[in-house]
This record gives sequence, C-alpha cells and structure tokens, in this order.
Amino acid sequence: MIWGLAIKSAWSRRLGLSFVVLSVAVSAMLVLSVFQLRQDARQSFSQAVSGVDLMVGPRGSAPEFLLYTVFQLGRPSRNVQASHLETLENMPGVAWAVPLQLGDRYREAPVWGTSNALFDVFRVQQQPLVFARGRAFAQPSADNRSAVFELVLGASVASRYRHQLGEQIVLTHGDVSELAARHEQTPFKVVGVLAPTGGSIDRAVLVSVQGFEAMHVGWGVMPMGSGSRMASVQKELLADMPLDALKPSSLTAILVGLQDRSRIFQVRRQIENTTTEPLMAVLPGVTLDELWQVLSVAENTLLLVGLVVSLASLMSVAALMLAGLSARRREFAILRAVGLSPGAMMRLVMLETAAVALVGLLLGLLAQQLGLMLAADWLRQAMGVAVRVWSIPTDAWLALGAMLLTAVVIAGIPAWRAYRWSLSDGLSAPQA
Amino acid sequence: MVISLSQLVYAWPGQPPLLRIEALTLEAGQSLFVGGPSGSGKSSLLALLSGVVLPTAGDCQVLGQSIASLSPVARDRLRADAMGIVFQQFNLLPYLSMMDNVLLPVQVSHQRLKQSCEQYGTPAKQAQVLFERLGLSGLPSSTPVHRLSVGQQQRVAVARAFMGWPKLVIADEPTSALDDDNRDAFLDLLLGLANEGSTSVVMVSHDRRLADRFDLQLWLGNAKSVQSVGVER
Repeated sequence: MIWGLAIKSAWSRRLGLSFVVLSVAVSAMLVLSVFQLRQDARQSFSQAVSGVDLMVGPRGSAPEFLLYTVFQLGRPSRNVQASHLETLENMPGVAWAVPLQLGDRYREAPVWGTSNALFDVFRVQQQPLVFARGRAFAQPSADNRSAVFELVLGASVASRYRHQLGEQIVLTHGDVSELAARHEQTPFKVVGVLAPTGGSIDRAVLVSVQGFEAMHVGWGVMPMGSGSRMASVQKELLADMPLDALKPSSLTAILVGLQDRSRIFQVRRQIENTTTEPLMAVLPGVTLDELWQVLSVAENTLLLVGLVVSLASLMSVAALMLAGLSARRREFAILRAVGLSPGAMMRLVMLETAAVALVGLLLGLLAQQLGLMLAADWLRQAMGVAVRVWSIPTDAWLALGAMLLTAVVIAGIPAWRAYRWSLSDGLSAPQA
Repeated sequence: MVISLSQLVYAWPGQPPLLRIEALTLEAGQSLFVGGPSGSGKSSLLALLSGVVLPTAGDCQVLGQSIASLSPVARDRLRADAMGIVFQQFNLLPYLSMMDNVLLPVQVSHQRLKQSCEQYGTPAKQAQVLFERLGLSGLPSSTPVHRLSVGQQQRVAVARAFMGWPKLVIADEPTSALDDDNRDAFLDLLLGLANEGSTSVVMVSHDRRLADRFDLQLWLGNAKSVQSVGVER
C-alpha cells in the first residue's frame, strides 16, 4: 500500500522530481565519462602502435626514442645503420622488419620513409591500415623506377590540404621553418590516401626509403640553397644512379614483428647483444604505458573534479528533497492520522530519494553511452581516442555504486526530518 | 467505555501544565463536545486521545487500553484500527481521487477492512453508501479532490473517518471553514452517522452554539489559570 502511495505522491510532484533526476543524471554522465575516457585514452595511447612487437633504435632513452618515432615529438635520436635491417630480417624468430626514416616534412606533417610492407604489418589500436582511396606506393625496382616518387597520405593530411590522387607534392627538408629548404627537384605523386585510424599515422606522409634517399642525393656535396645549379646536378645524379645506390645508409628506427610473441625477450636480448653497434629494442606498448603514467597527475585531477561534482550534485538532491519536504507536511499529517507510523513516513521519503537517485544514475549511464556512441567517430579522428561503448571500467561501476550509496545516506537527511515532523506535528497538521 | 481519563495532566516539555482533567468517561455511542478559547489545550487533548502524544501525568485510556503503556507501534495500530480523524481543513491527499482518499483507512487497518467487507461486501460499496448518505453520490468517485468545494471536502473526510466503522471519531474544528448552513448540515451528518454505527464522537470547536447537540460538553479554561474542568450532562 505504501508503494502505491509513494508512486502516486511522486507522480504528483513529477516536475520537481524530474529536475532532481536530471541533476543526478548529468553528474553521473560526467563521472562516467571521466572514468571511461581515462581508460580509453590510456588504451589508445599505449596502442598507438600495435602489431609492432619491437622498435629497434640506437641505445639511449626508450621513452624519448618512442616519442620521436611514434609521435614525432622532441628531438631525433641518433640513427642506426641500415645494414641492421637485413640482419634483423634474418634473425631467428623475426617475422618481418620494416625500416622507418624520419626528418623531413610536408608542411606540418612528418614524412615517414619506409617500405610498402608497412601497410600490411602496421596496426593502430589493433586495426590494420585501410586505404580510403588509391593504393600503397609500389616497391621501387629496376623496371619501376617511378615508384621511388610515389607517396601515400595519412587521413588528416589528405583532408586538411584537400589533396587528390595523382597530385604532385613537394616536401621540405628538416623541421618546419620559414627557411626550410624545399625538395623542389623531387616532387612526389599521391597514389593513395589512408582511412582514419586515430593514430599518429593519420598526420603522416609516407614514402619509400628510396624516395626519402632520392630527395637528398647530392645535398651533402653542394652547399645548401645554391639554387638552380644544385638542382640540375641533383637531376643528373639521380638519372644515372642505379637503384641500389638509393638504399639508405642509416635509419631512424626499425620496426620488428615476431613469429612468436612469447619469444619477445629472447629476440630482444639477441638484438641488444649485437656487437657492431649498441642497439635498443623497445616494446612500444609497455613503454607507452609507462609514459602514460607520467600523465596520471592530470588524470587524477580530472577524476577528483568528477567526484566533487557528483558529490555536489548529490548534495543538491538532498537540498531539493528538503525544500520539497515542507510542502509534504500536510501529506504526512494525513497519513499519520490514518495510522501510518513515523517510521513509515521516513521510509516513504527515503525510498523516494533513493529511487530518484537510482533513476538519475541509470539515465545518466544510458545518456553517456549514447553520447559516446554518437561521438565515437569524432573522438577517434579528432582526438585519436578509440572509445568503446559499454566497456565501462570497473572503477566507474564502483564510482556509480558509491554515488548510489551516498544518495541513500543523503536521503536519510530529509527522511529524518520527515520522521521528526510527523512526531512533533501531532494531529495539529500545519495549514497548507 | 471508549474513553476514560483520570488525573490527566499534559504539558509541553519544559512548560507549565496546559491541560488538567480530573475525570472524564465517554461510553460507546456517546458524543463529546470540547470547547474553550485558543490555547486551552483542546488540540492537545485530541493528540492525547489519538495516541500521538503521551500524558505528562495521570491516565488516558482509550478502548480499555492505557495510551502510555502502549508501544509507539501499538498506538499507531490503535489509531488505524479504532479511530477516524477529521481535521479543520485540507483533509485529503491531493494526488488521490475522492474514492482513494476514502479507502485509505481500510488499506492501513486490516480490522476495518474486514468490518467493511463483512457489512458491505467491498470497501468501495461502503464508500458509495457513505457518499450517498453525505450527499456526494452525484460526483464520480474518481473526482480529483481539488475539484471539490470545501464543504464537499469536509464530507469526504467524514466518509473516510467512518470507513470500516471505527469505535471513535475525532474531529478538530471540522466546521470552522464552513458557512452556517453547511455547518449545521455537516453536524447532522456527522452525528447521524455516529448514531448509526454506535460510534463515539469527540469534537473540538470554539463555536459554543454547537455544544447543545452533543451528549457531553467539556469546557477547557485558559492556559494561564489551569482550572478544574467540569463535565456536564
């Protein structure tokens, strides 16, 4: 009987209560979003390079090396000898090895000099690369010399500069600056555009290592910027040069995939024991995860804000319920007169507050997941964060549970008030 | 004996006694008028009788049970089972229909539900009978209570008080919001129903003109000069 009354009574105050529900829902959305984005951002970051088991570079700081090779952040490290590429390919346990050459740019976008095997093995957040338009650049060979100057655009670069297939593009030497020399003599043809991945490859321009090398032919010989004379020299040099000569002598990094991931530490030891040059083999996922932990301060601040906001919203629930309570004083007096106990009044209020909080939390959960569903594409492309709907982390459930518990405790405040009133009002119910 | 008071004293905590009654008894079916100026303890007496507050001293027996000796739960139970209460105004829950308001007592008290079913078959039938007696049968029973006039609301409150025929109906200034014609009609109905069900009635009013219609009259004095209280027949 008390349930029926509670529902009818709540329904008669539906406008006020719906605001309470909304305020709980909004704070639940906020807290859940903080928790989930925290989880997904971390995962996206540490899986920015997946499918690559080891990244080989010169011995040094692993985080620095990764930040430069994966995100093109910070200063380039020393290079490794290109001859290691072959050594690695033949190393037992290694499935493939792909070169990576960095240093040049196209406008803001870093140029990746690599081999076309990269398109088969590279993964971002466990998704393989897909071409939105066109194809991969071909592996340059004696009968396909023009493949040297083929180029593939990352998704963001293509959409930002509105490039079409077949367009000719001139890259710049070194870091972007007003003074950067342009590789005018070696324009590249766009042959493919990648689909968005959310990874740093979206902001990259990909060419073959031979193409990368060709841009710099003769650059060491002639003084920089000696204009047309140098240009003609480079053209001549390139025309006569056998393709083998375009093999780079050094690389920024070598990406390695294994046949059997369980042997990763043996292979790693083997690489690092190479005698010709001190090398380092980095597990990208692990190192990126470590890097992310540096960001945990920002992350925890976000979390704290979320929790404080939810607490504030729950307090406002209590305030709203208390404010609404005085309007119900008559109701309590009438129910008391027909024989309901003060405890029943208390249960009535407590039940209602808890139900309102629960409905608010569920509504917030649904709205947040729906919002994620709608924003997933945008988050992936613009922020590089791959969110997954309904992958609510355990700690978010805990936070929701804590909110519900707090709501029930806070519900005790108006409930206790109702209890006191129904004792002190006696039969002399206050006039409405 | 429905009510039996002896040496009853009531005071708000930390204040001088507000109410002092030497002796008072009310038999089944009898009606009692309680008059007196404001602040003379009229409402406190009703609160005592209904078991909402406890006497400071003395004995207050309702239906053979001493209020003070009952647990809070038992007092709520006694009120639900044996009493109908009518307030001065705003008796009805605004979110329930006229019928649902009247059915409240039989939902709380199993005893009154049984009584109503034995006599009428279903509580709704008794409610219809009461509506008829109270001149409310012209209204659909699903009428929202805010559509009722004040006089109609008071009559619905009376119907609720008599659901399942309780032993005692307590009314706190039930006529003060009514005009003279309505007031007399209301009193006729209240006392008529009480007579029908052999229900005792205790009614508080500051309107002396009504006192004659009751079996017993109790006049409470001014709070400042707590004086003895006489009961006249």
